[in-house]
Amino acid sequence: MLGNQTALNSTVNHAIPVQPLREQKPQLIRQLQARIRSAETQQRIDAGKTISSGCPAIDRLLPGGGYIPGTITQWLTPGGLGADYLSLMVAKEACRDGGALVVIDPWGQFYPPTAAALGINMGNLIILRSRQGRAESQDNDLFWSIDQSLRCPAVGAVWGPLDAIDERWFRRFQLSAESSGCLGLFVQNTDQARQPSWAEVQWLVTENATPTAGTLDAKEKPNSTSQPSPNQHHVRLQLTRCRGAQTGKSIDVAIDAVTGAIANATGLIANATGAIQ
Amino acid sequence: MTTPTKSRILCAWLPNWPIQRLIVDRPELRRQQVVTFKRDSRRGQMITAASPLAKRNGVCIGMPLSEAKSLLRRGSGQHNFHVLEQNLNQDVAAIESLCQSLENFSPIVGLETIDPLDFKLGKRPGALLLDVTGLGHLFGDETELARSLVKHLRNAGFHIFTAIADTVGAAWAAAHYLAAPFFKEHHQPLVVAPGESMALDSLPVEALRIDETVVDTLDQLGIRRVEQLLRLSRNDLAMRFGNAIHRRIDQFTGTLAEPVIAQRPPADFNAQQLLEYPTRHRETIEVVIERLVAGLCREMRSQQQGALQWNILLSCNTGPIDFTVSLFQPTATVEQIMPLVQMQLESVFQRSQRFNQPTNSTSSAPVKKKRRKLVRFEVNEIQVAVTSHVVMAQQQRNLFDENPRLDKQALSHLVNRLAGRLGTENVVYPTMQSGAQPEYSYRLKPLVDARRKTKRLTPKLKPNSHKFSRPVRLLKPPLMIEAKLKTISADPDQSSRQLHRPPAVLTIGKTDYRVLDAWGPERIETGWWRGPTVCRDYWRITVHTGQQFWVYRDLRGNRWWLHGEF
Repeated sequence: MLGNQTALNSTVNHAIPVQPLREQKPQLIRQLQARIRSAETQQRIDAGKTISSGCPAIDRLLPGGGYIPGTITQWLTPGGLGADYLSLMVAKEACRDGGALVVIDPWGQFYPPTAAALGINMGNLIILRSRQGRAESQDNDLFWSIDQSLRCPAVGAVWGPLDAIDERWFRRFQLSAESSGCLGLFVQNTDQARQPSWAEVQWLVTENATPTAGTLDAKEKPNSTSQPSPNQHHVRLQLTRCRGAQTGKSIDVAIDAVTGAIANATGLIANATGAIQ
Repeated sequence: MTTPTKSRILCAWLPNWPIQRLIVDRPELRRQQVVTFKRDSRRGQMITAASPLAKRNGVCIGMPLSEAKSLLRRGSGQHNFHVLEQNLNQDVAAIESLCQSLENFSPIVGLETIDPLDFKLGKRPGALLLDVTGLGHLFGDETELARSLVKHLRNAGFHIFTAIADTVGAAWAAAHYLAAPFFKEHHQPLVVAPGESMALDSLPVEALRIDETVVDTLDQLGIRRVEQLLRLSRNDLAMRFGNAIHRRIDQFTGTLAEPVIAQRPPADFNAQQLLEYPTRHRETIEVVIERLVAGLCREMRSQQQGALQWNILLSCNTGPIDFTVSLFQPTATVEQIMPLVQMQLESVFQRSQRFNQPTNSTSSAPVKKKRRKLVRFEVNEIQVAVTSHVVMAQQQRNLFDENPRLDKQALSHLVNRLAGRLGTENVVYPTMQSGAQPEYSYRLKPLVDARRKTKRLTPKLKPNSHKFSRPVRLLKPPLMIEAKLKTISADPDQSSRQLHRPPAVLTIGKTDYRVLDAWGPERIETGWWRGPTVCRDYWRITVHTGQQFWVYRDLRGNRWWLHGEF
């Protein structure tokens, strides 16, 4: 470990010999960050590969330009803010290479027709339901199943809404995902924000207060280009945890119910023609 | 009159089976008013089964559910009753699994046969039939055999009446019409001596398992007993009622053979080992099972067969323990099967070695006072059988197959493990159904199903106008919410129009949500064949917190429901 550090320092010093200190500092930090990241992720399968979120603006917030295979991503939401949709779109991208999508459905609420409409391959979908009908920290069977699914190389992504995840189980999920290159996507309530997490990326999904409120019945009013469409769902994604990126950054996105596109909301609203990014 | 036969049949009747099954599944329903109902397209919701307590309060089979509810409310003076929708598939599955648990008493255990027409009308078997020919001496005598079986089923929480007779028809009749009074008087199961049928002649004609309409006609003619029917000319009966009644009489008397059709036919591949000393060591049991499985795998491979389902039966001092290992894809490899067997064995050990609570249904003592004792079972014999197998198609793996995502074998192993741990019914895949009502637009099927003959297909979907028109998760059941509409105008035309407008405020739980935006209504009017027509107006509502809800107004009850969150 010590030997590696010495080698690291010597390489950095050798790479930047003459620039002034003020200019050197950010570059040095970036280089160090990249080295630490590569040291941390060299065990991962598919190193260097990323999975798109379906929205380039979101991808730009993430260090590798997308989600890294073999990691866990958490979506914290009070519900009704499109977190299910956003995370499921990532799962769809993760399974594009033919991997199976495992859906964890502890409460029997998953609605397959929506997933089918989003373009998820129904022939590659496995739904796991809890024996007890609820996912509690005591439900070891379901957590064991998540762990096994994350460990399987034939699984592209494991997606599901969960209650609290025990810290030890979470660590096991992380290690399992890392060993297979499978992406774990868990949608949880915002009250889980303070719990210990082994997620690589954690999003907090909140309302986007920026767009002007529409009218009660959109059908009665002519479609105004300056107002957001009622078919669009405006939400704010805040990066509360991300290895190798600055946390606290947020982005406003709009989900279009008609086309299913996810777009940078600020760009969308500014664009009067309604063209989706 | 009757032809003496060598066969001996035991009939075990489980009266009011749907309710019994529910009570055994959910012990909290014991001594409660429980009714099950079905949805009839013309008559609405009808009662199909009722617990004795509910019947005592006047509930009858075939009664409308609303009427039954009012009787139950009046009877109990409160809302202390349970109304459940009938589940015929679960009823059948439960009695079939009970059938398999009785294979320790007879190798041929089956269910009573139901006429196809009655089956269509919703009648399901409620009696078990065991061919006990020549088996009585193994238990002492036939009475002891029947007594052991009654004890076994009563310990499992079931209430049964049994009878042994020469024919299936006679045993069925005796179990249904004579066993209860006989047991009350003699405190032992009824055994009709071989060749003796006189006692059965005094039974009502319904005991012959004939159609209700025929019974009614015979009743109008004054023929109410079997002996009266047997005195009639066979030609006259055939002219009036057809061959069905003849067939039943002949089956009853034994003139026409009626074999018991085994629920689980003998397995093509099976092996067993009797242990020299009974053991409760898990490792020993595992080694023996592995040896038996390896032998069967060798045998199967030589015939190019792969197993889809294994059944393992442990004969113990406390009774038989059996479990099933189902597989996603056929296999004849010990290394793939044994981890699944070990997983099942672990849960069997956990289940059986826990403190076992006695399940005496008649006991009214409080739960706290019940004695709990540790059950230590010891295994005497192990039987392994392949209950489902198919011809195995060998597929060569690509030498340079670099994409691990396409490793179907790894996926197959995963599904096997998941099904072993969670149960086959909890590892499922969806199939799309054509139906406008969201709840019925898909169906979940188990991935591991030994009876499945067809390959899983990727469903072809019709393109939707909206990609994201439904939430990813739907609440089950929908949550009733309060909705405040805008002030209704005094003008009747205006007010009727405003009824089809979205609400201004939604109250979910104790929280008020101001509605900012709404998209809809999307009217769904369907399902008349499942009962009352479903008539809903769906709205996609954006509230002041930025959340989007999928709500609907039930146009029949004029209530608002939250069905999902986007």
